[in-house]
Amino acid sequence: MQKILCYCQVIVALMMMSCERFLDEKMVKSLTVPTTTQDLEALLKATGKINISVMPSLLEIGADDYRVNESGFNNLTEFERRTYTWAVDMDYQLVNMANEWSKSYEIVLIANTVLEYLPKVEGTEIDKKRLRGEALFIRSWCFYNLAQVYCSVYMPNSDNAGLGIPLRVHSDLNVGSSRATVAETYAMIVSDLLEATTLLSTNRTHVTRPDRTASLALLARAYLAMSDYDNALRFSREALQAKDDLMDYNSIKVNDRIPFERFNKEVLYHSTTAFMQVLNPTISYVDPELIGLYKDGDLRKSAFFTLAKEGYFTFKGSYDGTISGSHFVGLTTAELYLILAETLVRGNKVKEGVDVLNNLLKKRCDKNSFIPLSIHDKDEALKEILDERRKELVFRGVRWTDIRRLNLDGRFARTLTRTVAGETFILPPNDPRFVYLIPQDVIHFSGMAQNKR
Amino acid sequence: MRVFFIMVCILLSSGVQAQTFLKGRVIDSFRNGLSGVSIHIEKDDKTVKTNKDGYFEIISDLKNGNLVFRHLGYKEFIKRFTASDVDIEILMSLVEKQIEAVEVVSTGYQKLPKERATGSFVQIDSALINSRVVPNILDRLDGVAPGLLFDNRGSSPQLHIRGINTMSSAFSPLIVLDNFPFEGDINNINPDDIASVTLLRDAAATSIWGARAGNGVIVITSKGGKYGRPQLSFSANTSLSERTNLFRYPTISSSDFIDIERMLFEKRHYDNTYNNANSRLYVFSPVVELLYAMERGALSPEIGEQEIDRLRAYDYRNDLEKYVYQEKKSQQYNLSMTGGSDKYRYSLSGGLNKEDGEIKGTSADRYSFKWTNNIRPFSKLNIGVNVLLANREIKQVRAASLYPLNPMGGKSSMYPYARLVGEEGQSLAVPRDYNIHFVDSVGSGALMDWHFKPLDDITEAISNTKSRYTNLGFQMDYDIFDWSKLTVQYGYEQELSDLEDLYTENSYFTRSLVNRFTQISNGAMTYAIPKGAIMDRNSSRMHSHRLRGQLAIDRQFFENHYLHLFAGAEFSNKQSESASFRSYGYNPDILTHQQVDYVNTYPMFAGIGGRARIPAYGGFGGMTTRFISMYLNAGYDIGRQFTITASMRKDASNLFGVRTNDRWNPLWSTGAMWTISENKLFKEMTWLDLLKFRLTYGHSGNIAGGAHTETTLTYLPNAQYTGAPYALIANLPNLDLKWEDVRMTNMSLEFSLWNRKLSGSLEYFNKLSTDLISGNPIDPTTGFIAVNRNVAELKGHGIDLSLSSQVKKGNWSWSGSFSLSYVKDVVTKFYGNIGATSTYVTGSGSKLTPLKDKTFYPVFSYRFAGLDPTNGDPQGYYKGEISKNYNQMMRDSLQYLKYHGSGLSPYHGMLQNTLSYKTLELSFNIAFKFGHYFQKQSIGYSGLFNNWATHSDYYDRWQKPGDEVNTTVPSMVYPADANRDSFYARSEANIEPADCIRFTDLRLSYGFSSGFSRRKIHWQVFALANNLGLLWAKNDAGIDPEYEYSPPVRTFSLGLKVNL
Repeated sequence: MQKILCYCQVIVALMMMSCERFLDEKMVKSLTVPTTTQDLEALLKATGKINISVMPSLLEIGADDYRVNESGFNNLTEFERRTYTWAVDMDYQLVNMANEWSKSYEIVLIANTVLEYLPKVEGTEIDKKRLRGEALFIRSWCFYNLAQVYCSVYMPNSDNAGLGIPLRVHSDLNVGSSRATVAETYAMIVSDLLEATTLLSTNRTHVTRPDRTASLALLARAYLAMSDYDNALRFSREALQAKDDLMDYNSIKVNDRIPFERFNKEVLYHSTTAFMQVLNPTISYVDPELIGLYKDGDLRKSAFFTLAKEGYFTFKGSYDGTISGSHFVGLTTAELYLILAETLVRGNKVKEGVDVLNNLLKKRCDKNSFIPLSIHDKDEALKEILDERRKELVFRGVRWTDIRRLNLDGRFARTLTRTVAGETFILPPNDPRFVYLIPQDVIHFSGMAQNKR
Repeated sequence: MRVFFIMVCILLSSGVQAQTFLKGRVIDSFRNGLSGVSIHIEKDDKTVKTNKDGYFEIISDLKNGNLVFRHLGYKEFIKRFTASDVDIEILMSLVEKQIEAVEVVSTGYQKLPKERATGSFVQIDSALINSRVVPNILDRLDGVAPGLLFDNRGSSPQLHIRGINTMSSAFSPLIVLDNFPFEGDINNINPDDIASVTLLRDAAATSIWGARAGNGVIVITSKGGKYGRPQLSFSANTSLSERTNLFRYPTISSSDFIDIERMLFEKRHYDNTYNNANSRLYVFSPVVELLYAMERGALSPEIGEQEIDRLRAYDYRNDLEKYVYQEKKSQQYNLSMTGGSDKYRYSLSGGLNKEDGEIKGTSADRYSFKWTNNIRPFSKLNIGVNVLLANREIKQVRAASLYPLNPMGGKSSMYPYARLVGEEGQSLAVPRDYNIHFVDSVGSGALMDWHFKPLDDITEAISNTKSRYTNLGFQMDYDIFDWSKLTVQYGYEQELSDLEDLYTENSYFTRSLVNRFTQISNGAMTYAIPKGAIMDRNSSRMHSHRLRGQLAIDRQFFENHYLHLFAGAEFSNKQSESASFRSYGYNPDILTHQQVDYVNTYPMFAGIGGRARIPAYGGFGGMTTRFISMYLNAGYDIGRQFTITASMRKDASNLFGVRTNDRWNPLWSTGAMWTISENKLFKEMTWLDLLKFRLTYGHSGNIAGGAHTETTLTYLPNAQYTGAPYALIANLPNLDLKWEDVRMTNMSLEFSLWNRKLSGSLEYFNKLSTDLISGNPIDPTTGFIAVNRNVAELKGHGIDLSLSSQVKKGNWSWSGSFSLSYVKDVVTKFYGNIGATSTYVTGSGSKLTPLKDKTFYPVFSYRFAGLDPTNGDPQGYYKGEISKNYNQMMRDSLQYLKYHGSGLSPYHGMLQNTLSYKTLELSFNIAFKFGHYFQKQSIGYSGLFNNWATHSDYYDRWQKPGDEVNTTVPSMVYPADANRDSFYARSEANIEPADCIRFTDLRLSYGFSSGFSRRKIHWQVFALANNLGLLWAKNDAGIDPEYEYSPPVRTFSLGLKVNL
């Protein structure tokens, strides 16, 4: 009897072992736990999650480059109507919360997952360095763009203790979200990007993936938003040293319905905003004041806009190569020229700055009539460069940031106005409405603080 | 057999004793042995039961007397015996026409005499299954199976047994065919091959199925071979359904729609898009085009107005009904043969089901074949081999030509006065995707025609599905001793399916895609996509192996104690694979196709979009589901009065990324039964056939998984822009997730009176489901919008009452049955997050939504305070005050919503009646559902203005002060306010009670026999009408609450059955 029991035990033990093996087969073949750097790299290849239609459309909705007429306004959703008129109260529907908030934090989760798994997975140190750099970049990219929408403007020579964005650095769902300060937000963006520039090289497979140049360009953009002109100068120059390609608009069919190709040679990093009807050229038209800034011989007027009817231009110049309510807000070399020009002039190197600007304009204006600018006065040069910034970077996700930054300087402060059906809406400089409300459901679930009104 | 004869001889030779030794067999009319028949010797007070093959032995102290044979569902039989009777054969015949004729319930593991079952089983026999003719076996149960609720609100019915017990994705009952869970498509089963369907309702019944049975089990038992001479049977029927009535959709008439368009034109609504540089991407209606043409002066007002007035008379539904829809026709033929001897039994059947669908050119055909064999090479061994094959071929229409037409290009439904057919009967184009002016002029003849003609397209985009299903079963039973049996069962299922979507070169889909990728440079055309058909092919393959070993013990102890025990282990392995691909430039005649460049991007013709890659289609999928289970089931009978049962099961599966310890989940149940009528006190009451009390308690669960220890990724092919394979985060670690657990207590009282003149059962159940898993909204800052969590606890109770009665007088007989089920499920604990208020009122009652103190399908609405008497604005309440602040009210806290109740009916049931005179029989079924609510559709002005979405509530709208007394439909305002529309659409004004009574079937049949020599041929002819419509609905709007606009059409069938 003892023997039989013993045998039985052996048989049962063997059966249990083979059972476990039988049950170790994966249920869904395409599912895996990340074990190699390839697995983590696959996460960063999800262009549909990371690059396409994911950035907040609030980067553009409140800015002054476009208008909608009454007929167009009547076609809008309540969320769009309210943001278009800078209403005190916002009306986030689920789709708006996804577009303006959740999609960015989905990218943050991808970045955090990559960062957490990198030390654990198999792969070469070279790959691990590169992937860490990419993850730090895409997280900073999201934090930076969210900060333009949900935090007050960074003020130099101030403690910037106002409410920042939640800086999530863990993938753990059980860790709550709370808001950092504005200072902490920018400090993290800058330090992560600085690290990324040391990890990334200039070799890359595709502009949907960041490289060192893109990191330098984002640093330049971020420092400019912080009004830290010395650093903006340093990084825009460093980025341009790595890549300074410009398209010559003289060799582009500017009159085509869609003149630019997606992933053209000026693009350093590709990213687009969520689709929003109010930003769709089928609804919106370009601010006549902006149209008026383009001089004769400026090819951008034809390349960027279509004349639908008298005085009514619509936008067609997206570097996404589409006519859509989803706009290209990625990084380009042209923006670096403008940052460099502005910061040089602000640093009293007026001639150098104007030369940089001329290098850009040469490629933007009719080669037969182009005369390089020659400006010696610092303020005049600065005004010219800021106008060029506006003319070049139309629907590029930088205008809102520029308005906020320039409002800090009395010389350039603007009062925005919009008129709908005879009613005029005004957004004075430094108004609390320059900071959007966080979606009410995010406040509800996380308990984080809401922005002031 | 030999043993039996020897025993008989021995017994005969010792027949000098005073006792009389009687033995024999009880059979039914098919010569099958009847088990569990009680045999009682009058005046001797001895009772025995037949064994599973119908044999019995009894010893009497009397030399002669009466043997009384009793068996539920059969006529009592009294046999006078004398000592010389040796081998008695008793043929017991069925009590006339009744539901519970078959006394054996099948759990998929055992065939259990019903009188020994403590659990809650409901059996539906083949007569009831075959009283309908729809080709899907489950559809035949709708409204006839007591306690089985069909939730028909979705596109395919969702089945519920006793409400909802678990929440993880699969909350349908488990479906078992014969011995194993059925993994294929239910449409592969030919209902004619089915002998019975058993519903397992309580924990004692379901726990044997373990982790997949939390929501009940439906066991489908197929017909097997029968002893006796070969029996042939043939049946044929044909059905015709009414044509779909598209006018049931409550819309605005063409004429009124045109008036609305004119109003919008006056308000310059279309200017923005009409005059836009991108207007080619927008579709405009002919009326708007005419109005602009008149305004431009391109058209004289007289002609324009004349043209507009002409359009007022059209409605494209007339054209669709005439040219696209048709009466659905179907035919079924079945031929079967059964027969056999003690050594070998067989059944062989073939079925053919042909159906021409409600849309011209569509069809669904099924050929099925079934062969079962039972071989008994020697008395201890029984071998069963079954083969089931089904071939199906389904033709569908892929064209976008069905109701409601969707023109795209910024609109969601077609303007009502669209014309599909011209004066000469030619097919006409309607706008689609692009502005008609653009389509008319684009490419100046160089492109393929870019017009969309719905009636031409219908034959050009077709889908053809072919599937082949194989089910093989093997079973071996070996009687080790006469009280123990070893069983090995093996089952194999395979389903191969090929779906081919063919868009011919003339289809709009192909033409439009080719055109978009066409470039003209210097007059030369280049086609990135070649002309020719586009074919999408999807193949899938599923195969599943199941192996079970089981040891059963049936042993008698003492005088009348019996132990029934079986234990076993089971392995299952199901694998599914799929592959799909697309071919461009396909020529179906010579089977050629052309390569395209999937890598580079191409400009869109005329800049109608950005550069794009040629759309790729296809991919691969693979899935493996494995289970290992061990189970033990025991029953102990004490005399005929008491039975106790217990059951245990442990399951493990290959849930991915889950800790080994979490894979196994033990479940158990126990039950007791007291057959009161067997008690001596009640024996005297001759009017009491049966009185039985049952009590069970047990756990079942649901396999949920998701308790991942690691982050898991899912790989996908073809990232946008780069085409590279990429991965997404599928799951984050979620270690705290526990299995869902369902505890159910069941009490039942079963009775039968006056020789079954009245019988029935009343069951009360009480259930507690804990750790229910649901996708719960969380802070989206985490990167996930919702995550699976154990969020709720559910308490429920309910009753299942069924009564049946039969009365016979001369040639007349009547039988009726009534069943009523009531379930009340309430979420008693909810640990999850409450989502945005708007999510609870959108499609309210149709989504599974756990909330404390609410049912699983809660119906909520915004409180409605009537219309503003000055302007017809809808009003609600905000902070206790009447308000029109729609934005605030829609965001208000959940507690301010009005809660109506459940979207799923708590009460449902049916009434069946059969009246017969000789062999002429008339029967009808009525089904009812009570106590639930639904959200009706209504008019939304922003949808009307921008998307052409109409609803006839428009006619009831507020138009002048005073109208608010009679209507709740808000006034039409321009510009439309989407929040005002959605507030009204989701307000209590649009919540209606969903109670309804439905006339499901009416059937008339007549049977007769004809014969030559000894062989009789039994004929039955029948006429049947199905879906006869609502008899009563509680809502005032005259809406069918289950199928708001497209209730199932009335179907009429004629059929014939022949047995010989």
